[in-house]
Amino acid sequence: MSVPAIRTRGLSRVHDGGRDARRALVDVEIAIEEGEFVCVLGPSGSGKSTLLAVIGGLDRGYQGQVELFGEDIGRVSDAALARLRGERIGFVFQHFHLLHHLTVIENVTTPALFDPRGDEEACLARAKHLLDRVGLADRAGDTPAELSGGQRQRVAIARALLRKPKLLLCDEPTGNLDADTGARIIELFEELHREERLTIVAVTHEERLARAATRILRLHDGRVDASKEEPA
Amino acid sequence: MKLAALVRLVRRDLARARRALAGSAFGIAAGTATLVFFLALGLGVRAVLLGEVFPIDRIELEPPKAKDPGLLGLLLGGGGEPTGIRPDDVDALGRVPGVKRVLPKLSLAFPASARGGREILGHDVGASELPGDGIDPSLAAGDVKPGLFVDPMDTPGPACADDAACTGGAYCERAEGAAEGRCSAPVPAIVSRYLVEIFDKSIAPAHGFPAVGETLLSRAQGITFTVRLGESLLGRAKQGSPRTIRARIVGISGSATDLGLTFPLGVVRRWNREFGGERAAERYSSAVVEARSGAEVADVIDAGARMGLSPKDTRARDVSVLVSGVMALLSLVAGVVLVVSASSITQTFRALVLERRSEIALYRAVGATAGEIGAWTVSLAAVVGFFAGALGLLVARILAFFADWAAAEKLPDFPFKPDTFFAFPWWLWLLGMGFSVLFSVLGAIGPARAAAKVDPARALAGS
Repeated sequence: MSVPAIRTRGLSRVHDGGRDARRALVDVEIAIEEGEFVCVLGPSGSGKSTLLAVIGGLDRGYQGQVELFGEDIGRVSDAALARLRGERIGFVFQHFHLLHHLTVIENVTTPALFDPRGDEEACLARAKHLLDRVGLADRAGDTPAELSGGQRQRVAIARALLRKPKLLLCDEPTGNLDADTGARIIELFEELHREERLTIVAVTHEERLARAATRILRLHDGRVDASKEEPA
Repeated sequence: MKLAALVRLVRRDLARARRALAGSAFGIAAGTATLVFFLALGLGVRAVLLGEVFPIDRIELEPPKAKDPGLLGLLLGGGGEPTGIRPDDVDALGRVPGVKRVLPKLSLAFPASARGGREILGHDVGASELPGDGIDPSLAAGDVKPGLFVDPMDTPGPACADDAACTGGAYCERAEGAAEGRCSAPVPAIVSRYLVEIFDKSIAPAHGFPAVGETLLSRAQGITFTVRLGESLLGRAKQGSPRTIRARIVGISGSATDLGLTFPLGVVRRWNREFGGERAAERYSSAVVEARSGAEVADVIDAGARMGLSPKDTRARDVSVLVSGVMALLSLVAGVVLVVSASSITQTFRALVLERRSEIALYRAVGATAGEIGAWTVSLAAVVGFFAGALGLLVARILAFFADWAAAEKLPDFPFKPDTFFAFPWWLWLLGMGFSVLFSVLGAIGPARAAAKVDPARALAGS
């Protein structure tokens, strides 16, 4: 039996806001196999982004257990977790988080700055290949300010794929895009999942993206609604 | 993170935040410039004072003074003789740890007087009492052209009975009772800078004489004197018959006795034997001990004290303490400037970190460790400190140049006025640069810790 890409046991997260402590996740138990394309649906404030941050190792203030590729991330050091993120996880954010003082190609190669084993030439070649794949080969020297929203998100996806991750975590990846642009981004995710067997977890409240997934998890008030877990 | 990646990150930061970084770098540069300027000034002044006026890395030890005979002793014609330093004591001093070499001195142990100076003064002047020392010629090696300050009897001329038998300015060096003498070049003598300063600033103006100096001395091929050995205004030597020899001043040296003429040691030893006896020829009047460094002089003094020898002059130590105190005070002022500058770095970097929270969070998301984020921030500060330090050093050097220029142009001439008031040894450049980088880094440590602690989840969600 293969090890799940992600497994959580009794996962809870309380956001400490003084007197207004808020339970963002409550006793979440999920298992996502390698190669799955899972959409986490839920209304605003249901805990979707918190779940993504926790399983991506960006938020360590949780209770319970989170395993990534069989490794309990609560037990590893900050440095080891950072290495794990760099090597195995790619992030795509709603607000793209591109660095505006850099060109497109420099944005895509940003993860290589923190790769101790990275080869500069190979990294540049891969960045060019990825830009070609997302249809932006001719925009490598532009800055993000010169790109449309959809183009920016494609740059962000290329950046997330630079170090050949096994897991892509997407937080509202189409949330800032118009319908047509969002559709093209969803097609790109479908391609990546189909052709590269990437494990993709996307949190969204958009049904269009959910329809592209192989499985849907629904979150409500920080709890996974097991009754509504469904294959897409 | 590889070094190349760190360099790339820092280079990008320097390009995009140059205005903010330049602002905080200015403070560090000012602090570094102040520190280096004051230290260079202190070192320069110290070098002049302790190198030429009161040399600190060498100390002159002398035996106890002769005992006061008291009124009865005077009436009875008594009075102690100076004890002198025995050759064995000189050897023992040479073995003291920290001692580079020991150069004994022998004072003239008999009355002498001198007259001369026509070559550059226009007519002869006289000294009715001539104090003098004999020193090892190597002591003056740095001040006098090679071969000039040596005992003429090392290469004696032809045999002679009197001066008439000698030619070319030579005289007949013939001790009392000797059947014949040898023609000898004028005995070389050196004078102290102190004596020249006194002559130029006080005696020459009072008598309308021209000032003398190294250039004038060398152009006039030295001032020649006749020296009357064994006789002066105050009396005659206890033994030997007075005679006259010729001497020539061949240079100015910090090793010369302050007041009087200084001759090669062998010459004085020969004369002392003739006019003062064997003891006066063998017992040294003092010994110049050169330490390997100024810090070891104290050990030398202690060792000398155990042999009953004491420093002839403690002004060097007093001046050293004074200069060190002033340097410490000025360095403290510069230190305060640096501390204030470091707080400016702190403010700038705190603002940068705050402004870049999402960028830092992104780096964390793509694999940066907290340590790498901290290293990035500190490295940026170090580079800012490096450039600020370079600027500060440049400013300090330029300020020193203008200060020297102003001193040369505006300050009146005074004894020992140096060409430069500053010293910039190699280690001062390193020290200035080191302090600049250190204070920049210290200022950035707090912000670097804050950067390392940025919560990536919250920062990425905050946009």
